[in-house]
Amino acid sequence: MRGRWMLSVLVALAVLAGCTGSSGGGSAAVPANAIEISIIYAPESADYLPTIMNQFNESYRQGINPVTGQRLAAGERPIFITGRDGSSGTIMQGIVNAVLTPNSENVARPTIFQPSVRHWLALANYQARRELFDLGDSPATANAPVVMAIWESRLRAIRQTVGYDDIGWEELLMVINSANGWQDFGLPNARRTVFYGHTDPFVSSTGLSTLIAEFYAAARAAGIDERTLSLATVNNEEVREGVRAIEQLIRHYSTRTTEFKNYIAQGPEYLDFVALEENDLIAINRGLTAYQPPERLVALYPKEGTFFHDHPMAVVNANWVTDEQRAAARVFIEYVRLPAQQEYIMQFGFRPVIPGVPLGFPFEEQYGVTKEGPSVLLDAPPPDVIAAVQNTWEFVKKQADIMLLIDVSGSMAQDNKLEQAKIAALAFLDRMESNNRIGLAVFSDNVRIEVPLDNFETNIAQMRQRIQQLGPEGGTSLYDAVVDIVTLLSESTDSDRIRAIVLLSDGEDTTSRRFRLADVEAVIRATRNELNPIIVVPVGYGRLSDDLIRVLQRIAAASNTTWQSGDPNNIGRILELISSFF
Amino acid sequence: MIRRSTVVLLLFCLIVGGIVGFNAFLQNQPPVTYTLAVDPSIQGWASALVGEFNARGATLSSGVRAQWRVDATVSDINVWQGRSNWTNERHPDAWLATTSWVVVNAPSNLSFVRVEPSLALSPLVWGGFESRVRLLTQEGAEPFDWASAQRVAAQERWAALGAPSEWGFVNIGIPWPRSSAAGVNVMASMLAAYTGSPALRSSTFADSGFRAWFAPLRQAMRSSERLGEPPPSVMASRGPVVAGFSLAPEFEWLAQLSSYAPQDRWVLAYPAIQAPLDFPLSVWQSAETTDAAHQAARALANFVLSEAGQAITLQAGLRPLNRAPGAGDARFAQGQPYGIVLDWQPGEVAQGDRSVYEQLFRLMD
Repeated sequence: MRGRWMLSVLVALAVLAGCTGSSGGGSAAVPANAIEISIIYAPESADYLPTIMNQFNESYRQGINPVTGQRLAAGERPIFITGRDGSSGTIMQGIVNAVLTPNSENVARPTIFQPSVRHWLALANYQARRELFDLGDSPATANAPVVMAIWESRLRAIRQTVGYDDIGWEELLMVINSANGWQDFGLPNARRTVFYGHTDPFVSSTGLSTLIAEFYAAARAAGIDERTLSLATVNNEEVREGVRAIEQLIRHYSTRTTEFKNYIAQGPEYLDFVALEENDLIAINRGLTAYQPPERLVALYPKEGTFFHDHPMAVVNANWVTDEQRAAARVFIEYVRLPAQQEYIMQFGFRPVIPGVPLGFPFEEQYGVTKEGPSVLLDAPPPDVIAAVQNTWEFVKKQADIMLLIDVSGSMAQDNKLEQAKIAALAFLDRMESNNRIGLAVFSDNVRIEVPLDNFETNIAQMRQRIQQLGPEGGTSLYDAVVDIVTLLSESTDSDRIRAIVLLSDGEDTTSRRFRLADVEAVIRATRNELNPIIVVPVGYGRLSDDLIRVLQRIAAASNTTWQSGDPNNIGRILELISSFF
Repeated sequence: MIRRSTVVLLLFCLIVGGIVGFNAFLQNQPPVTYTLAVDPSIQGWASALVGEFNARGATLSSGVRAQWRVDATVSDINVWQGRSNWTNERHPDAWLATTSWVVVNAPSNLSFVRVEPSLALSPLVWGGFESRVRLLTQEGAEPFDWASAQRVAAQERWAALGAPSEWGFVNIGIPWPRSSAAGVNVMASMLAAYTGSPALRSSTFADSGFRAWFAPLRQAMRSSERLGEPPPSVMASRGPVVAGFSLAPEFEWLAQLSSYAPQDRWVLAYPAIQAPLDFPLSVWQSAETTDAAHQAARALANFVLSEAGQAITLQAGLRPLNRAPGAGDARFAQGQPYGIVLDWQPGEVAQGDRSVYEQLFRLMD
């Protein structure tokens, strides 16, 4: 009893420590003789794991075993855990690299890996050709089904139109394939086009699970109803065409769900539905994102099935993990699965992984979820099939036409801004997928097409060369430049591509003669009802006046994007983020 | 002159004092710690036993105190497959395995000698959600066993048996034979059910009739490889959406029952031909092995079989050898309403040679 009481006090202290910014267990001193272990966890676990790690470490620091609540026995060594978050796909690759190609740039050597979903563990074993992870001993630590987050008004419209409640991919495809889109579903003022989004299946667990679910949906539509997705089905051309058709509805992609949940929160004007983990949907409805959603998002648990992201914790079977670290890792995993920790994790929208922890806040109707959750699960395919699904990505994903529009006005000479912007633009091109088409335009007093839009392979060398040659001159004809490039892109007759302008500017318009800001907004808005509306992503560069910020916000709002604030330190990261849209 | 009797008395005192002093010296020496290897699935039970054993103290014939340390880093399957990295120079002092066949068929370079053939039992138990079990057993007309499991697996979907379509495919949870000795035991039970005999033979695997019979079961099986943890644990936390029913060791079901709050009640049943876990204790035997290590292992076995050890065994949901669980044993009492039988008897037990277990191990590949 006394041990339990002491543990409670320690837990309270550790929670306070967590609240004051100490995170990841790494800031405090390591107890003497401690067994040190590390964990890399999925980004969404960053909400709760640092606090849990602090509790765990604090308990050992006080000489108490955190699992039993008893004082450490003679000879029992304390354990100290540190950790960080990382996208599941990136970390999985890093661990495989650490074993196979240890000199790679992306190398990770944790004791424990906690991806969002166990697909990555199977994939790691498959890629490494060895049992890097014991799949049968990788306990779940937090449950979150992948849901289709859809606006309540949209879901109601589908249900009223079809006349029943049990909705899944079949009905979403009906909306998608309907000639007038939402207007055929009782929403006369809604867009005719349908916008959908998901994340990158090479990096994001939600992206990977969603792409697999799309293959299941397309297979069913093609008359193939199999329990477990097979290689033959993934390679079936009709099925691939079905997945490609779904991907055509993508407004834009994103690397991580962390960013995507902010985009959808802008409302139905921006996206109609998006694949998310249930906890992310709850966070949006609780108002924890940058935007306050204009109406409630609801979780659609597709009737055909979905995947549970159970955040397994697996100890890495590699030479950097000793037997005693392995044993210590098991103690930490056991600790995370205790009722107290599971109740804490539940506050962040994850379902408990052990029985006996009743489902409470925030699993409430007001947050768009049901207590029951999904009633059908999809079967996780074997790793060779998952790898094949990933490899289809470049063929089925929606391709993009991207114009890079760079401000080369005289003010860009100050503080070396243009040189920094050139470095960032080159990095942007490095990240660009080769299936996209790219072009380069610059503006000062006038707008100039430096490299017309064409295939990546055709243009890439020329674009690099032209970017390196750019020099500052003249004034800033921002409005004229944006209107001209939007007009240019809107003349493209290719209907199955994302159309986007990445605008890089540091100053207010000073020399536009033909257009005003209102014209810019109008010409962008005019494309909104098209299948592929033009997206303008403005990046304000350097020290920006309030006026320029307002201008960039209005340009971004016209295509429901957000403006980005760049400076020499973060411009590379911002353009990297934007490149993940396509 | 000192009298003779005084000399004798002085000598006696010296001898007694020497003995007492020597004993006191030994008592003050640090105890010798031996390593007990266990499968990770029984780490909790083993740690509780060893904790109590160490707390009580055990003195060997040499007068030195012995204590044990649990090492749960290598699974039984890995030992059996020769992936333990144990050598003459680096090995545990004893091995508490989950099941006898992994010890009997262990690689020849691992020289273990059994101290006790069995320290406890845990039979395999079928468990399923009542709604599914009612369909499976045709409202109780058929036993809840492999034959009925095979029949529903052959239907692929529950809807073919009249269930709502959202029940989806028939999914059967099993421990993964590739990483769990219990998983191989489940396969052994299945093979025995097909032949109707506990004597397992390699020739059955080549039987086309068996392959056809097994094919739908294989399709329906969802192993812990996919589930990530024992099927009862996942069924308790996520419900029938993961698996409608499973076959797993009894202690894994009992571990869930204390906190399981079912919406759809579980039904538990014992297969007709068993392949129970029997937990043999073995000690490493080599030229360097001391008699003290044997004595320490014997002392540990004696403790496990004692009243105090049995109480710990019962608390872990395992059956002691010396007595059946009673109504006062909480875990088993909680299981009774679901179908747990207190005075369960093993009956027929499936057994085969190494080649049979090798093939069972690979059956799900």
